[in-house]
Amino acid sequence: DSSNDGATTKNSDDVKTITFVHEESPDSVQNDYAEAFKEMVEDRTNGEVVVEVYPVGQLGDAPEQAEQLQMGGVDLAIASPGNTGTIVPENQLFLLHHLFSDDMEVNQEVLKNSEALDELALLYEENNMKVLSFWSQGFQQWTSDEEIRRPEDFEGLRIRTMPSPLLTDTYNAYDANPSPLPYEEVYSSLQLNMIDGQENPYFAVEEMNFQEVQNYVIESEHAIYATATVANPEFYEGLSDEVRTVVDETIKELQGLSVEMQEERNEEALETILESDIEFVELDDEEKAAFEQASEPVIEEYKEQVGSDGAEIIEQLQEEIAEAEEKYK
Amino acid sequence: MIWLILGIIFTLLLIGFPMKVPLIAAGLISMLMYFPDTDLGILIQQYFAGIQAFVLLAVPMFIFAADIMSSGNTSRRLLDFVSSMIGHVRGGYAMTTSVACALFGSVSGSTQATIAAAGKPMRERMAEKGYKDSQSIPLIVNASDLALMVPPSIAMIIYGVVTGTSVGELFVAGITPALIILAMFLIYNYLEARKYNLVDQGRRESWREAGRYLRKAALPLGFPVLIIGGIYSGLFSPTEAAAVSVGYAFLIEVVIFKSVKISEIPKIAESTAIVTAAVFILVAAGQGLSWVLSYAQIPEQITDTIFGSDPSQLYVLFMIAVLFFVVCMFIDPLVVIFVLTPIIEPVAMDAGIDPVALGIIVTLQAAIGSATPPFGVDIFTAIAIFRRPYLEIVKGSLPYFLILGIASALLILFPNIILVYEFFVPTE
Amino acid sequence: MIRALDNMFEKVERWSISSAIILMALVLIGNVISRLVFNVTWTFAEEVGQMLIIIITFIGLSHVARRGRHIRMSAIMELLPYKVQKVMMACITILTSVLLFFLTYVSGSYTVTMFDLDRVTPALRIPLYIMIAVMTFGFFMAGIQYLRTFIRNLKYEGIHEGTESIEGENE
Ligand code: NA
Ligand code: NA
Repeated sequence: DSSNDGATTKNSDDVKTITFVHEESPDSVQNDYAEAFKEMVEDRTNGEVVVEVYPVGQLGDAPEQAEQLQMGGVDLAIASPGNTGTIVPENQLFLLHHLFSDDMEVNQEVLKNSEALDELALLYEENNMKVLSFWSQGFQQWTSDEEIRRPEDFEGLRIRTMPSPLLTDTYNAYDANPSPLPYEEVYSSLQLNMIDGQENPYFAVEEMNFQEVQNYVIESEHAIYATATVANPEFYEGLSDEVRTVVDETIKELQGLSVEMQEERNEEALETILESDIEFVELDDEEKAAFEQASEPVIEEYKEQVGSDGAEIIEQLQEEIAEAEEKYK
Repeated sequence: MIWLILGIIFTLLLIGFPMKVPLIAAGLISMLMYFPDTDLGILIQQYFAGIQAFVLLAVPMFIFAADIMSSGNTSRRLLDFVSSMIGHVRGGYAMTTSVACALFGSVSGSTQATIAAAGKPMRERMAEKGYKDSQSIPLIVNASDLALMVPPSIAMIIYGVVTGTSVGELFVAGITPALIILAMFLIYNYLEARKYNLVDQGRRESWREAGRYLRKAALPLGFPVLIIGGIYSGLFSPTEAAAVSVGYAFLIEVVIFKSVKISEIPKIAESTAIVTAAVFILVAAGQGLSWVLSYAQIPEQITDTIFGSDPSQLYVLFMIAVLFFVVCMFIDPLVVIFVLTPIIEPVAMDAGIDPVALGIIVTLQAAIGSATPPFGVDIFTAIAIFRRPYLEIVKGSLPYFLILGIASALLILFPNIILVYEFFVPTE
Repeated sequence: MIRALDNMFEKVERWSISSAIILMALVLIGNVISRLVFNVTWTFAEEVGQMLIIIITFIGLSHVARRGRHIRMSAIMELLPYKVQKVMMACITILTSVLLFFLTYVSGSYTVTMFDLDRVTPALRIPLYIMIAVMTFGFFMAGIQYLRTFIRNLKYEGIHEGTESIEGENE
């Protein structure tokens, strides 16, 4: 076989190849992150390490990728809680509405320093995934055929959610009709009016062109689209001290850089969204508070569903968020 | 690595292994040779994942519906109706076969079911009128291609699954090309009858008589309306439409006409399950092989080699059509769509090709390939049903290949023909 | 004894794949009715459908092998003399059987991995290892069928593609 055969590099001794998979398209926050990682690590190791980035679809959907990481076929992955909730049920706390702040600075502080999330990371480790970093890709927002300002506006609304029982509970708390659908089917289902709305950060809305088939885009900031960079533990332990230091430092830097990466993508996306025939609605503090109140019982349901580990983690996390909010007031 | 994979697949295929074996073996052997440290369990994960797409459930459902109808009287009622309309024209029996294949195609998504349901009775009727088997069987095998072009279509469902294109739009878009191909078939049917001086026209039926046949065929004819209308109005998804079509077939054959007994249903379901299993194991194995290719980053190499940099739209469409046509001659077309589409899709999108138009062209190549030697599955279906030798079926197919080749060229040169469907559908 | 066991398996296979098809139709139709009439979507419909398709494909795999109903290209083989055909068919069946037993092993280990990873389906929370176990079972049973076909080819006259059919007498 020729030397440019991608296969041969994986087994060669002098060059270490890192396979890095993520869930999103080549034109996305996760790809920006992965490509930045590639560039920084390859540069800092003087070509000793090669990073191969596989965007979504190439090696499978998100849960499959996570499993490949657990089995060691993949070294690094960006895995979102919504897609790994069946592996680490406790991480569904990221899906809860208004648990985090509507100030991204506060959230960034928590994601970076939280001890509660260190506990959560231990639960990942039990499942053969080592969390290198939690970070955010921006706020979750709604798009809908109907104007949504208060929980009552959700009554009977068929909203697409990720396949998580907790999300179903949340929207049931608003008397909506949550419909878990595969991501790829959302556009056509909106077009065919099989569903009336969905939730995603702006960059995803723009990428999937949901604005073409929706009447309202609602800046609700009801949750953060959090994600985790995870490594296969054996891969991570097997790195030379030198390379591991480079990886650790790069991941740390990227945690900070991700804030701007997502902001840039989301702002651009919103501009594009608003160019089409769609109405923009911004929830004020009072309206957000109404949703916070309506979704509060779901936090209790979370505790019941995932058990004592999760209950402790979320209580500690709530304290940490409150502390950070004080600090940035 | 790509040569190793191709080598394994073609050697094993030619020796006569069941088609799943080359696909499975090629994936396993390349993993063992190139990635010995990688867990083979990932292949099993991919086999599993390959058949998990919800839309794929439409495949067994459409097959089930077609199986129920071929056990009943649907195809005969459709034949009688068509023949009462055009049976009196010269070449009328051949024409009836062409139209009947298209019509049965509109209630079934598979070429094989169409050969069995519409082909079997038409071969007998054509034989009575002096057609040789070497004329009628190739016609049936190739006209069955229309079943894949006319909605519902299993090939379009699989294309929709892997590209995320709306199956509903693909269904509607297939109609115009199908009508063009049908027209070309009808012209050939007429010319053939004239050349061999076949006096095959039946007597002209009175309008009253034709009306009687229409009434009998009305229920089956409501079928495509239900499916396309249902999907388009958002009443149900393609998968649900397929299930609804099972319900409809059951209603017609078991409840209304009582031509199938309810006790026969498990037996029909068993035969549906066998066809489904034979196809889905290939889809599963194809997904495993796809994964290995992606893991080795081969798709990029393939597209770079075939398409070069910045290719023109025409060149891309032409190469894609050739690629699919050739590969479909050897491997089950559904699996080819499943494995190759993700590889060529990015190139096609970069060249500005409409995903729906691409889907229709790919489907047409798959349909043609399914009747093309050496391995076209429809040829083997026909051998099994009609018990005629391989070469006889293949030889008579030449004129139809020409017709289908011209149709392909037409669609590749003027892909806008496919997009006329946009005028007929409501947009938001 | 083995005969009786085999007959029993044959019946179970037939029963499970045909009921799977019928059940799939019922669940999907039920979901349409439930949604259109009562405005309630059955969130489990998708998962049930996926489970059934695994049963149909992998239990069907064994059934297809038994009946010799696989998609395969026989044209070249048919041109060869009988003796050569017989040897080839013996090789094909034994190699296919070996391949399927190897898959049984790989799939079995993957079942164990899945058992450890504890993954479940989102709505019904069915452990995924159960579905993988069905695959493993299907590979194993199909391996047995090809092994039996191989033995038939050795023991008896004729070219056997499955344990129940002889080449050329389809259906
Ligand atoms: Na069709
Ligand atoms: Na065909």
